[in-house]
Amino acid sequence: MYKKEILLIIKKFLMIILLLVSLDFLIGLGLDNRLKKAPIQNTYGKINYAIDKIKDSTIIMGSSRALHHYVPSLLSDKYSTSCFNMGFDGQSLIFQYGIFKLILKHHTPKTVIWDLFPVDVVSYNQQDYDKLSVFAPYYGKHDEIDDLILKKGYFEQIKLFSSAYRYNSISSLILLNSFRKSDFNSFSCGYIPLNGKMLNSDNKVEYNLIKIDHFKLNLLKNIISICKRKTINLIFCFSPDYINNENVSLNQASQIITKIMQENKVTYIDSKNWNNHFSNKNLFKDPIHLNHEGAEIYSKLLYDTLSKISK
Amino acid sequence: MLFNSFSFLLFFVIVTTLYYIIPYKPRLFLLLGASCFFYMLFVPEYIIILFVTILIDYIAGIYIEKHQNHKKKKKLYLIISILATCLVLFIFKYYNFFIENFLIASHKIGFEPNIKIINMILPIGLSFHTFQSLSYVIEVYRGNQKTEKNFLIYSIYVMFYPQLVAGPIERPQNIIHQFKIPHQFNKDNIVLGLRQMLWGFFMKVVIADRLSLYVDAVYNNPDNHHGLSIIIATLFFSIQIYCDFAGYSNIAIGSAKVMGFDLMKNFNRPYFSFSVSEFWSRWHISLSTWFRDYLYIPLGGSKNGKIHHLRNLLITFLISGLWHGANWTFIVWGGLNGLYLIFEIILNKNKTKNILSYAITMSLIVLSWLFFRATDLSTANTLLKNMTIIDLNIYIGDIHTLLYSLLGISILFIVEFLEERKKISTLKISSNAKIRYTYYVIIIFCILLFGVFDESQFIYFQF
Repeated sequence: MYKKEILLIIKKFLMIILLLVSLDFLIGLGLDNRLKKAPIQNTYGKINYAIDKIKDSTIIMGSSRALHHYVPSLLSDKYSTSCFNMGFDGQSLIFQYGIFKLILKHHTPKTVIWDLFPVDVVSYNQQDYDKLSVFAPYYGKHDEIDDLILKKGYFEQIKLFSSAYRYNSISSLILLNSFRKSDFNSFSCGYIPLNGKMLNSDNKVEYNLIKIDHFKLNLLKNIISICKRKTINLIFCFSPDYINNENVSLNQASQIITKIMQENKVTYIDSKNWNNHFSNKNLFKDPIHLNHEGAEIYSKLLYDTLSKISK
Repeated sequence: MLFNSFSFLLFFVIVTTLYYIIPYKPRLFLLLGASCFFYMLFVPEYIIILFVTILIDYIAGIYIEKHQNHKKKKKLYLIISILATCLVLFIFKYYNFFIENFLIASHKIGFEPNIKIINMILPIGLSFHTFQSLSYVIEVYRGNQKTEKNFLIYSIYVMFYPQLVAGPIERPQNIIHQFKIPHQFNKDNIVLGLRQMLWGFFMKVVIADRLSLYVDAVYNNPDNHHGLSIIIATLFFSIQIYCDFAGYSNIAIGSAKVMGFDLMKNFNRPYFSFSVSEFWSRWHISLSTWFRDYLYIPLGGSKNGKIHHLRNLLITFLISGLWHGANWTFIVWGGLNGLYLIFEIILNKNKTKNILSYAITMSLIVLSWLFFRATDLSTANTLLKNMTIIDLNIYIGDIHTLLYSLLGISILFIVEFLEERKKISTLKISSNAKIRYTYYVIIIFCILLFGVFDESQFIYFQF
């Protein structure tokens, strides 16, 4: 009697699984189709651009500090070629590395300017891995990022079998945005200006370097070795911030990154040397982000510095 | 290991499969082993503390029953057991709170004692299994429960993994005998249990965790939000806490049901209440009945005059508030609810059922949740003040998060309305396979598409 009941349960369970798998496949198919139509202003439009469209000679990489600090039109004059800002809000070096690999699959830029915030690179933060879920819709389509996505957690590979799961929390974003047109004119080659000034004069930001993330440091070294191999002119930049408080963790992280730069003989530009230009808090939106005015000043200074280096 | 994690699903499948494969006696070892494994995933060393308290209560139970005819000795063993159990609770949960307030009070009178706060992690489920243990010794003392001489069964009673972390807080009369039944594989139990777990996952990951994104954004920045934004965040928190708690309870009850165990119902659609007293008969039933039976009634309950009745109510709710957390905000929350009940009794308004009574009840309950969620009294004060500032700019945050939240809340409301008004139990759903399968598909895809599984959701949330 129990055998019959067990068989009945298994039969019903299999029917439900079959139904779910079929619907899951259809949902995935539909959302994959809409994902391709994401406008360039949208995160996914920008990732799509990186995957198969980007042909710019100079590419700016990094997190929100890259996104809001580097004005491509000011930098492109230096190399008399096109420049695109591939910075992404809230994303760590792991994500940036994934984007870099996606770009390299079809295009080798001449120059890469990579913005680093040392403590973000050095410090372990589980959120950096959780945020790799942004790549989830692309899982199984690009080897370059599949391994990175799985870094999120032990069971990620099983969860990603589901197409619906890959679009977790973004299905409406993908659907609604896919009906908008890409607006290259107002997009400023990937750069997003920040408007406004720091309201709060409290510019103390606390960072705690509890655990070093060796995976991210290895990725940093990988970036350096890839660029050497492909003769890409790689320049690391530590763009300005308005953090006034002494912070042991910040100093420790800076030392680790600087050591890697020196050991690998990589060009790096530390804006701390330009303190007299960025001691005005009106150039900042918040302690770690320049506003548009600050970004323009910084981009021009960077242009001048890069010009001197190349002479 | 959180209930809403893949590792729990794997753990549950393995334990349940083994449970039905192996014979009855080894099953008990399986249940205990699984519960120990579950507990030790948090802080392994704490298992020693748990077993010491289990041993104390187990021995106390034996001695209480042995001295049933010696009132003083019986009472002594009860007191020893209660003190030992409560001491563990006090040290881990309330010691720092007590010391901090003692130091503040001492400082005010110019006295600076040299007492330090201890940094320690709160053992998982401490408040729950403590109360479950206390329930056992008290029932043995009262003669309502025979001593459980089988140490294995008693240990499972205290640390049965489905209810270990967040209840329901079971009574020994309800559960202990169930561990002695060699449950057979039962299709209905499996289906009902899985269905309840599915609903619990939906409540937790689709509604509760999604709403927390908005609530945290407002409550963690009280100075930057006013008026409607705070009201909306507080309303959202009312639903968040319900779905979080009831979701966990549903997963616990469902996972126990799959193995053939019937745990008590813990929530009964509390937001369909027309009075505060009705709310408290539907909210966290296992805890509110625990406080009724072991604190309110021993204090005298509603006997000995109205003043004593109201006093006993207030004391019970103040302690209930403190049980929830070592912070003045919880005490205020508990006290507020106690006062609501007192006024209801005085005004004799607990039986009125109309739209006005519903609106008043919900407003009072939602207001009290503000204190529950605020990190401290100062934040609560700021939120209350800012709530009264008229500000037409409502904080939206991420529109998609709001969309998913509203979708989840709509489904919740439809399901609970059907259960409350139409008496349709979604757990028993329909004999029509198409309706059942449609329900499963909708809920599962809602979980996959809209559930919050990690902290990466913050990237979709613009501050």
